[in-house]
Amino acid sequence: MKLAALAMAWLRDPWRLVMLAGIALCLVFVALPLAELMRQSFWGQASKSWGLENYQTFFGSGYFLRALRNSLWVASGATVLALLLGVPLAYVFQRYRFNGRQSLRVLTLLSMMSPPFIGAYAWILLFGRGGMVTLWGQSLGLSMPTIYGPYGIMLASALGLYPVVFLVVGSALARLDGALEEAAASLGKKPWGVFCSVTLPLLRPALITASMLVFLGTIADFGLPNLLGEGERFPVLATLAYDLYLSEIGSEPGMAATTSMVLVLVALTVVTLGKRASQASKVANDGGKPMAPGLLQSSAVRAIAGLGFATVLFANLPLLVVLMSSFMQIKGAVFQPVFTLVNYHNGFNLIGNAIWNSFVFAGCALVLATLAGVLVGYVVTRRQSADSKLLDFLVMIPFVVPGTVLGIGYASVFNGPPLMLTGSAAVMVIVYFVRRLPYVVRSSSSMVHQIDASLEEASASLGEKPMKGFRRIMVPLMRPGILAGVVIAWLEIFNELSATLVLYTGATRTLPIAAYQQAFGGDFGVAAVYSSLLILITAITLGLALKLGKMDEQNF
Amino acid sequence: MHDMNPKVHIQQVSKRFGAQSVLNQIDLEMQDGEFLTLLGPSGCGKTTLLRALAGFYTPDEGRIWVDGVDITHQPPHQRDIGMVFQSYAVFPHMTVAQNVAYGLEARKLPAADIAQRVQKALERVQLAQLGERYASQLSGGQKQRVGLARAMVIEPTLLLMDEPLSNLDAKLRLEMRQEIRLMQRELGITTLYVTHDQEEALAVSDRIAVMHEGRMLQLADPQQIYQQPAHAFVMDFVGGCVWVEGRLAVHAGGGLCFEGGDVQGVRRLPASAGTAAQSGRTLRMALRHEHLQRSNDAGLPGWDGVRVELKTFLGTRFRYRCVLPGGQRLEFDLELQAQQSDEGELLSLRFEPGLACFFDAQTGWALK
Repeated sequence: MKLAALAMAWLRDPWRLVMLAGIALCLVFVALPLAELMRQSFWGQASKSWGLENYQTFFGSGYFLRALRNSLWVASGATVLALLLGVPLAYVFQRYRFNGRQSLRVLTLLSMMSPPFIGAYAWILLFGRGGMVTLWGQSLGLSMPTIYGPYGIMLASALGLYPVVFLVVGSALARLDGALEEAAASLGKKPWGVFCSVTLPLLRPALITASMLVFLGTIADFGLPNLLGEGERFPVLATLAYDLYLSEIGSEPGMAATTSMVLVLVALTVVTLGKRASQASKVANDGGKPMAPGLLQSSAVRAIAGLGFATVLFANLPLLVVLMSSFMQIKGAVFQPVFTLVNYHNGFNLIGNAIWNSFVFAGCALVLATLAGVLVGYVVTRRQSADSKLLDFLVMIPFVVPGTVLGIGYASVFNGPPLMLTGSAAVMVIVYFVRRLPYVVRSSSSMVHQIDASLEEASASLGEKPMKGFRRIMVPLMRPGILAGVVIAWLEIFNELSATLVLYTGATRTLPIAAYQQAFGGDFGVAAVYSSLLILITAITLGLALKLGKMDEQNF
Repeated sequence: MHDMNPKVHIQQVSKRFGAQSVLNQIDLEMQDGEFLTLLGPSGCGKTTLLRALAGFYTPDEGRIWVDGVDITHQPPHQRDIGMVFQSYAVFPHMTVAQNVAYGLEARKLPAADIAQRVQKALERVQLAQLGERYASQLSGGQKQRVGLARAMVIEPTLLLMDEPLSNLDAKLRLEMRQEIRLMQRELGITTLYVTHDQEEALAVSDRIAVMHEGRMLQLADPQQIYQQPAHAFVMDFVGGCVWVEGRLAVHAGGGLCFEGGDVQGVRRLPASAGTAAQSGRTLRMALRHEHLQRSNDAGLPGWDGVRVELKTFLGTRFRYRCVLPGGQRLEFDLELQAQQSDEGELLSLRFEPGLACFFDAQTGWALK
């Protein structure tokens, strides 16, 4: 009797279905591809047996180890650089009022919009062999530093990712109780002392999170290091995995799988260390009012603000360069200061259905990610149970798995029955959906955290059915917060390169692929056109989303 | 009020969270139209019991009936139970009128009916003019009126109130509790009210159930709760009192007395304090602060050398905070007309032995 009643209650709960469906989906499209890669990494090619042979090969060979070293070196450098750029900028922006404060913010976010490989491509246009600045320098008899290699990758990655530091640290600063700093000052600390003894320690969790995000972003990136590292010349784990995968197609991709696993392992280690470090810092925020921005007075702070503006403008240079070059005549690999539309003419002749594909794949993936993200974000936040924890874990895995790795996993699992997806449009939609689902899940989860649970209880006590109550109460209240996650997911999906590169075929080519192909040894002019298109489409959709968000806020 | 069939019947309900037992075999019956309050400190289980009634928790053991129907495993939205929340839980994206209409819409009533009933409910809580406002444009008191109207408009079988006044300021709290009581009486809705504020509980309830550590210690009307507490915890929780530790003894002059502590003077106790056979049993004696009088009558028990530590002016009277010779603190009020003392002065206090309450020192239960 009691069991029957319990079973009835179980079945009547629609959220359990959501949870089960979510877990099933993640098992097939997240866990399975990774498990397959793991299986391959333990299958010895030469010995034809299970074991650590592939890992011994990896760690015993300078060729593989070099990629690991390069990845770690480049990611550490980029992280330090991004912190140096982002933290002072966030501090100045949050704490001071000055002319152009808002435009500083917009410009910062703008430099985050374009995919990293377009940044790399633009830096090559400026500082590469035959780059505009390089040639100009040579004409003056100067020897210009090269943009290729580790330092170029660090710089370009940092310039692409410092906005993350700006956002994360900025929002932590905004939440910091201003009275704490005032208390320190009233106890006799000088401003710099206050910053070092109170502000900085309180920001530690945010600094750790930001560092983690930049580090992960850098080691997971494929396009940028491949362009600036020129493939084989300076291999990193992501490019190595991709090259190995290409050379192993048809055979068992043992070393590609092993390299992928090492990459995942590095990412996991970083996340674990980051989590532990931020837990160890034991900084809890117990509310209070944030500091009101003061007037920019001290000359030191003014200098930092000036540097900030310089950084922001420099970081946006790629956008400008790409847009300009798309209208410039090209001779060999060198742009001429002659206005022309011939690049556009060539570009549109070669484009095929790449633009259409991009919109369809990204659009479908975004709709799926939004629907699933809202439901999953809700259920993992409000239901504290073993299965909701499992779902939360599974759904977040793609957040730390580089696109190249997930792509290779998909290519090895879904290339035959029962799920023959390779080369189809469906696989694109699914891989985009799965990769960016974490963004929507996290943003809707944090929104759910902010919504008083008694609102839903009120709805239920008033007799509304659970799902209908969810639609009437939670969805409208979550919407403004979800939008942020959805917008970021859209930008990332539309510009996705690394997983696409593994999985696309002629029929499923996307705009980023088209741009990348042209930038990597094709026509630089056409590359500039495609990159400009990417930038414009992202900017327009971002603008629309922001407008939509404003309208949403005015509603209540 | 005392029907044969209870409106609500809670039978042997237990609930644990992990290793912690939050409700321990609770039995409770509520009569139709009754205003019953669950009173206790935070963590005593009162909110858990209320939420089990609402359907937000399922008890691990025991059953709950409402109107003779077992609702133990019914989901909340099928229970027809109105609820008022501590955080108000006014839907922020809806107007006041939309909030109140919410439950009626869920019941799929015709629009004309809904409009009419919403209007009437808003008039009852004095919000008729504010129907088109959003929650952000309301004060705390107004929000809680919306919460009340929203819960009452569906004419629920049972109304649950979870500390509805604790987020309001003191003055508004007094006003609102009177309004709630009047409205509940007018509509005759059976109401279960949860609070940690003993004064509030005494003021609004037909009956009070005092809870502590997942158990129900006493269920009685407010006067009994205050004057004849069944347990030392109840004594302490519902009003200020002074404790004296000691034991039961046979008095030299016959009868029983309370031995020990720092009480000066006669210690003869009423027969209710126990039997001669129980002498030697450790006891705790408790006295309400207001039962202490300024007097040095040698015929009454009490204390000499009570020091006035702090004297506070409260407008209509003075409040004295004093220290007993043994270090215990107590508070009592004196009218403005009465003879006043200064801080630092020593007083003598006496009490009528018949007003003292006695509790078993081991179990905490009152001596009968």
